[in-house]
Amino acid sequence: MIRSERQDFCVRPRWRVLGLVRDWRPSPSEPIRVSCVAAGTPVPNRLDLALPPCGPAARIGVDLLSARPAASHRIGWFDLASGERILLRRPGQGDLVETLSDTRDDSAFEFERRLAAILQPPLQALLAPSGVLDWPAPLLPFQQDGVKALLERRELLLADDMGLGKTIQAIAALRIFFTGRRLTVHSLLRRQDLWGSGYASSTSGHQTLGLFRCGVTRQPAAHYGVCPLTSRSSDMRLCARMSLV
Amino acid sequence: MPIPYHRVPPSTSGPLAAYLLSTAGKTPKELLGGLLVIDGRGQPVEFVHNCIEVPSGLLWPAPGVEAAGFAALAHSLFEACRAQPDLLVIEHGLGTPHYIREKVAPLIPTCIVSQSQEDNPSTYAWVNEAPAIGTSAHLLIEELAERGFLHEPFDRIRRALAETYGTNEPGT
Repeated sequence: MIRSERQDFCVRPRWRVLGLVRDWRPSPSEPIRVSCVAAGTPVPNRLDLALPPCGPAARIGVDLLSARPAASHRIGWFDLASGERILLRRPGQGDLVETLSDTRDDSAFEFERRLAAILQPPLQALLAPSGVLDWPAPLLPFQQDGVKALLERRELLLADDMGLGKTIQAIAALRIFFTGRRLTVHSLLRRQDLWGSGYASSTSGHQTLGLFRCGVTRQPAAHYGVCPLTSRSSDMRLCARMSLV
Repeated sequence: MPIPYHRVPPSTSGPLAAYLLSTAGKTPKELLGGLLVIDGRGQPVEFVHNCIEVPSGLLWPAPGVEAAGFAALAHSLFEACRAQPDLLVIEHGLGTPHYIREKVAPLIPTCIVSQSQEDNPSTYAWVNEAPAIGTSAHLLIEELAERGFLHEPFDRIRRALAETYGTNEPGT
């Protein structure tokens, strides 16, 4: 909660005299009836003087401007210790927890996930040398396009000539998902390897074929894994689901 | 033999900044407000939003009503926010520094950020007393400026409000 010195305030209505006032009733309970006699007719500006400083209109203004309690969404985090999950906390409605085996199709749940995705920093800011990832050097433009494509699609096979940075693009996409707190990781590699030793070392010894999505297939929380060439046949079947670009 | 340890829950460490934005809703009567709390690296921590219905029409001057509605919105967002930011950032044009200081009246360091132009980067000005050099608020605003997050979170809030209340995103 942000503390503030809350003050009561009144909004004075703008009294614009459009015509001659008839049936003037100063009682607050009675409505003020205004009728226009003729356009352009000079009329005495009596309303400003007649109204009390804080009349019924001002009280109405205060009543109308009292806001309802605001809704709060707490962006979930990736909890490695208690298993893969995304936690979205809603006040008064209980925590919203997602696991890999979760297959709920709740519109409110989808909304919160979209909201969490919208509130993430932009890709350019993430990949900047001073960005969240502390990326050591800027990616080349075509590599940034690759990372962006990985982040935007559900399934994607990243293919290019040798030495053009497929691994670095895959690592960048993975790190963005991690830092974005919207990734439930399901990796073909051991999880502790992927997390503890860093992505570069965990993928060393494997030729990164690409990123693929598995598990729950709902945006924006994507599930990617790094697929080595030496994958088992079952893993390769998952790779077969990838769409080629 | 296991070594006992205390598992620290994952949480955002470091100072937090709250970005406050108010924008028009689908109808002239609606005024939307969003409060996005981010850390120094631009990562979102909490998002609070609300909608208020303001009187409109002949008798109600739009600038005055919007300003009062902005203060009411801000207070409702402040009360719902559970994070404890060290800094409040408000977009330029939502209110004069005097109005923010007197009516919104935040008790944390508050600054107004103007959007960057073609050549000029985003700038900020303190509404209340500027925090001393070396304090968390001062270090945070410097970090946000260095990482390019001085004004960018307002765009996120606009998109999130458009997603929440179904309004068209400005400029689209």
